[in-house]
Amino acid sequence: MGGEIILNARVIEEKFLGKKVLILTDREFFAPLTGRNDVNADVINYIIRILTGNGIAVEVEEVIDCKTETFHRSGENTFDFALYISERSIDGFWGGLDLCLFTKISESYCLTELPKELKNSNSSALNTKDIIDFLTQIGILGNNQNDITNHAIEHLIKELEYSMASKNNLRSDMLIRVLLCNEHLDIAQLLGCLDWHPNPEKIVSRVFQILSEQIELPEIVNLFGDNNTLEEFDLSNVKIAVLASEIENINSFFKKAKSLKELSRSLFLECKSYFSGKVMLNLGVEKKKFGSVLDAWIINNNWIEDVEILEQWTKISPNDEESWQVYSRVLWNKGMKLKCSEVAKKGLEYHPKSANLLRRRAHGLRIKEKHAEAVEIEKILLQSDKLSKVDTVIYLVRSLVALKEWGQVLKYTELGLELKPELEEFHKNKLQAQENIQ
Amino acid sequence: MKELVELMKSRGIKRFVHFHTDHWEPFSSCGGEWGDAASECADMVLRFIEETTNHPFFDKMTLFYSHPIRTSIHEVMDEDTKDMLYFEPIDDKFWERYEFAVRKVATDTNHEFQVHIHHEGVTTGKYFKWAHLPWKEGFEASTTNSERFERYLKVSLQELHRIVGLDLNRWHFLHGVWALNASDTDVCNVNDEIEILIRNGCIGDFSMPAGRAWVNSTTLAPHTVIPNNIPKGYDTEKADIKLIGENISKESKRFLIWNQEIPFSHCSIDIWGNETIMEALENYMDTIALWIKTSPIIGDTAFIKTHAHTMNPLFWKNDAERPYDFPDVIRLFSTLKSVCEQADVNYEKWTVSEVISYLEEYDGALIEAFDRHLIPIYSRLITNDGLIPIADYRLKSMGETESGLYGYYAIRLKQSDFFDLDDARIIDFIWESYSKDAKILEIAAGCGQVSFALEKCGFENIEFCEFDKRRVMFSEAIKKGISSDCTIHSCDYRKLNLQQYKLIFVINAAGSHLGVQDYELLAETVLSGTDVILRFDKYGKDNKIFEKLDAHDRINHTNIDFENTGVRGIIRYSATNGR
Repeated sequence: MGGEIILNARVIEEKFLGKKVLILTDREFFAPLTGRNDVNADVINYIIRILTGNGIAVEVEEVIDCKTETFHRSGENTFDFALYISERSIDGFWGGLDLCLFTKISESYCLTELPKELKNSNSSALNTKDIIDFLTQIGILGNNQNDITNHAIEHLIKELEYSMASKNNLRSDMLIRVLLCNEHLDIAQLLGCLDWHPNPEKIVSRVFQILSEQIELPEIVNLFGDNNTLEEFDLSNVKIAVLASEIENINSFFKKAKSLKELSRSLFLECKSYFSGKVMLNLGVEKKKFGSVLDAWIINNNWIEDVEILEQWTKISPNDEESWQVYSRVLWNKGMKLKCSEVAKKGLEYHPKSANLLRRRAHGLRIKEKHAEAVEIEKILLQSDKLSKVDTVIYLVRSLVALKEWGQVLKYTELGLELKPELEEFHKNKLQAQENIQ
Repeated sequence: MKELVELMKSRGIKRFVHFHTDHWEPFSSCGGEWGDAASECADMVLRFIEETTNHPFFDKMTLFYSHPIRTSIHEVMDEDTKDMLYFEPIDDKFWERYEFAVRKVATDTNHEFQVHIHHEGVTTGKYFKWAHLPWKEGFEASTTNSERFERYLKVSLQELHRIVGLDLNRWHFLHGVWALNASDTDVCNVNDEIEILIRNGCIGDFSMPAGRAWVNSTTLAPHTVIPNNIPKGYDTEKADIKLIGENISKESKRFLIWNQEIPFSHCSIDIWGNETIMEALENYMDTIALWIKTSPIIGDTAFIKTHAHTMNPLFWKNDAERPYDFPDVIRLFSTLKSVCEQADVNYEKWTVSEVISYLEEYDGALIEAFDRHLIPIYSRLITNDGLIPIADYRLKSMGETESGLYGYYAIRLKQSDFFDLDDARIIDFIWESYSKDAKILEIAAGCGQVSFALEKCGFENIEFCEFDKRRVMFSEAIKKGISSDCTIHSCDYRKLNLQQYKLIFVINAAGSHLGVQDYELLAETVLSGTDVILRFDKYGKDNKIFEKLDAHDRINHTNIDFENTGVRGIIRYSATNGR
């Protein structure tokens, strides 16, 4: 999963044609709650909004990281412009930044300091016209690039997916903050990026903190069943999951749920993303920290008979092979063999080499008497060592008999007899083949 | 105010010096996934720079900096140190932010860095954190207190030198939780602490008057002592307590203890949690009167030493005030300055180093008493500091061959360390075994890094010899660059009068024109009373000379490579009965 997205993100990055701007600022941008002075925060947010709104991809670094040349957030990315927004002077306090940014700003190298009169604004009195004039004057804004506005956001979203997949959490933090400045951002799309993180439990608290600083989170009346409540951490996760899956009327689910397990089930069935599904699944597991057990463990121990849950699991976690395995197995055990085969077929689109899914698909094909297709699958399985070879030969021979491919029957029964000489079925099929060949 | 002015005039001084000794502890923690702690610490330090650089009264503080060191544990007791604990520099993720900010204080402000060590967590006492470890019988945690403290100190000093450029043979100390030399055994049980501090280049301690009054010396003025290795040994007759200006014997290295009659409550500006401090600040006129009346006067100068814990997180919470910006503190110092102006007394802000220089100027005997030799580990650091830019410049401007670096030193330059293990061992051995006035000659010395390091350790008669002309040019450039007094001989060493030296040594003369043919010369030299040290495998093309010297019945041979016993390493040859 991670590998694919990494490749995709790289391709997008290479194709991005818009300008790229690096904003250099103080710690306050990343820690507005603990910082000393966030008077520039509104200015920075506004500039990011203007720039991304004009198709310009923006990233942000702390100035101190430029001085140490350890770019924790923007890595090796290069930019067309660097815009410095701080109360501290570039030369007076930092002793210049040109050398540190030499490799960071490509081609038309430009490091510009936001003029003093444009800083220190508060949101109600933002001098928006002057800011736009300034950005135009220094050449960052200029060509009308509205046609690629979404391209910049898409680019940043892809970068976020990539940073999530590669567990570059500090970069993810920065990209989320930048994306949240854009008023047209689709929050569900942003939070969809969490699906790419191999360990979302490591980042979820931080994401909640950022979101709670920047946007209005769903109000949840935390009461269900017999005066039960969710713990604060779980409640925070549910709020993110609700946004990620765009679940409406969240309070009605709490109101209706008679137990934690019921709440977990009903919310899980509403989820549209892997991350939110994971959150809702974990809700029902008491005394286990979020993310400490595998989803498959939760399903196997709580929902193994619940076909609805299993189906939903495959929908939101199609990349988890286990979801298809478990769902199709349960259907088979329940005697729903054709349905099982159909599920296996869908699962194979994501996991084409899964031996169990191939076998279940082949079973369905045999039931439908599509033996030729079943034979092709069993031949593939014969090359793999994941399932019993004897079983594979048995299924293969049965289909070949049905197809009256006697030469092939003879060939594979001989192979079967090498593997299991005492098996009566092989002897019988061999005899039948020999008779038909004569 | 008038009374204060008259009082000031009555003391007959030219200047009133304020020096602030800050217990500077800006570190809380670093690392973590998000780097918040590192950023928080770094940001605090950057704000400290902004707020104090042009401060009217606190722009020139002495920051006794407690630099964090990582303590780790061995699975079983380490045989070399006989200890379960070892210490290392911290290198956590995001650490570079913090280090940058601290270094910026050193480079961009007038503040001075000195040393503040909290060792109560790693040496035995009430706050010792490692009592639960499986200490071997006979090697309990307390048996290695002194050695452990010294190891901790050495790592701290090297880090302070690297980050803020601490002068390793002339630094000053402030004891964590005030407990100098086991004066409070809840905190410190290092009875020989002052001796260790002196050995490592420390001039004096500035803990007093302390927050825990029982550690204070009974001498209520700046004074010097000699080490007396018992708890609170500095406050006993055996410590040979002398006030500044009193006659001192020339033989001993002495340790300064700054104490003053002005009590703790009236020289602390820690504006949190102590009623008496707050009262003293509030009654600032009385406090100034007390300062004028009781401040120690040395020559024509009166001193007031203040202290605070400026970086205490309490002072950095949102809307919190820093001690140096607290209105009562500003009022006190503004008034003091006015009093000085009206009394025609110079009000001056000094660092601790400036105070010490003044004391040495006032009492010349202190120059010798405070003179510290670098121990080898520091001398190598300092020599590297001097060598690296010179070598770097030569390499860049002249190339590998013409610069005299050739491949060997070019690689060492890349590693930022001109000393290999043999260099280190031989310097350690010479430092331990020979007097500082011994006449010593190094042969095939290369650029002379070992000789320069020996000189930095205090050896006064160091000479070295190198045959390669380009190497000699390189050596001469270094000599000039680091203001060395080493004598450099550009010739074949065999032409020198070897018997004039106490020691001649060769670390690396492999593959040269030297070899067994020098046996007669070297044997004769040894028999004359000159020790000769040769590195096995590295004198000439073979080891025949070692066989011949070993076989001589009037020449002793000792392997001085103590870390590699059992194999032939660095061999010292000396006459059986000496000269």
